[in-house]
Amino acid sequence: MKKILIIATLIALQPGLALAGKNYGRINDEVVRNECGACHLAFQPRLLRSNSWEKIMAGLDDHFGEDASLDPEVTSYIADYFAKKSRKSSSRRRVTWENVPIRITKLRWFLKEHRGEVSRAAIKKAGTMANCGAGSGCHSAKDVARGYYDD
Amino acid sequence: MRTLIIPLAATILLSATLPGVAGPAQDEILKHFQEQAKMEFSVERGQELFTKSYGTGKPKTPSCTTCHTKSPLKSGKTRVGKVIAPMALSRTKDRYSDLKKVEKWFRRNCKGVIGRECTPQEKVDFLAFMISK
Ligand code: HEC
Ligand code: HEC
Repeated sequence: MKKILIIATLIALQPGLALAGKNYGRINDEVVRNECGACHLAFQPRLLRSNSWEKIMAGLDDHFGEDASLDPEVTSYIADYFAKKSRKSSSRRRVTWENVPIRITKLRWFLKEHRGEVSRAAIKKAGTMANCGAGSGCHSAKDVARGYYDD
Repeated sequence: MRTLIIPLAATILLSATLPGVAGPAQDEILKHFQEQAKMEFSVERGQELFTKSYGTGKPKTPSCTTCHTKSPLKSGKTRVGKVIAPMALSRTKDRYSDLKKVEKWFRRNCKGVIGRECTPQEKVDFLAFMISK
């Protein structure tokens, strides 16, 4: 019994797998939480692979059409945080820098997870798929802060 | 000697003409920009900056009010939909108390709205308006 439990926990901890209980953990770093949580919820490191974060952090002055730039020290501090806390990008599938994804909401596992679950009215209310926390009507602010996105 | 007297006079003026909500942290920041500005700050110019539709920055953000709404007393919204606390100091007490934060957002938002950085004059005018509200 104990063994099964341990295995189950280990599986549940794998990010990106379509399993119940999608827990990405809380961001404990205050700098990251503040700086990357100013315009939207602070996305947890394990929602993307390391190369995606690297690309996001390299392009903050034109971040999805907005200026999200920070001074060089803070930028490299946050880049380090994401590099350490995210999963390494797979070396088997070589992607060119250009094709490294920077949207969580366009990733295959994300789309699969949300297929048929989000109505057009719900997207209209939230404004964008990236707005899924407080007031969006999708996930609760409390859950989003602790990195818990179970339905 | 003159250089000493001018900023000092400006400080006294600042605290004299703006209502009492500003604390020492806000005073410090106002003084910082006033010292680099050419003219005495103006609440009216600050309001104009806040409400003007520029159309010289990013197409989706023609004005400060795009995100902060027309009223400094009301909550705004980022383009992603996250709530922004009111800009008026009387409503959000910890506003304009951290120079680094103030500079960071002036840099980002002035570029996004006007297409260039704001001048110290524009910054002190804007702050005076928000502190007076
Ligand atoms: C000045 C506002 C602002 C700041 C600060 C900001 N972002 Fe964003 N971010 C945006 C906007 C706007 C979008 C695009 C939202 C949309 O169109 O759906 C976005 C989208 C994203 C997305 C993609 C979401 C998706 O659709 O999957 C990620 C990931 C992201 N930001 C990470 C970060 C990180 C990391 C930081 C901190 C270094 C940060 N952001 C700071 C404005 C900001
Ligand atoms: C794209 C949305 C957006 C636009 C447009 C915008 N702002 Fe902001 N502004 C924000 C966000 C988000 C914050 C940070 C959140 C907060 O402080 O509550 C902010 C914060 C600020 C701050 C820092 C406040 C503090 O507490 O220190 C200043 C100053 C500021 N904005 C000035 C301006 C000016 C001036 C304009 C127009 C030239 C403008 N903003 C336009 C989104 C915007």
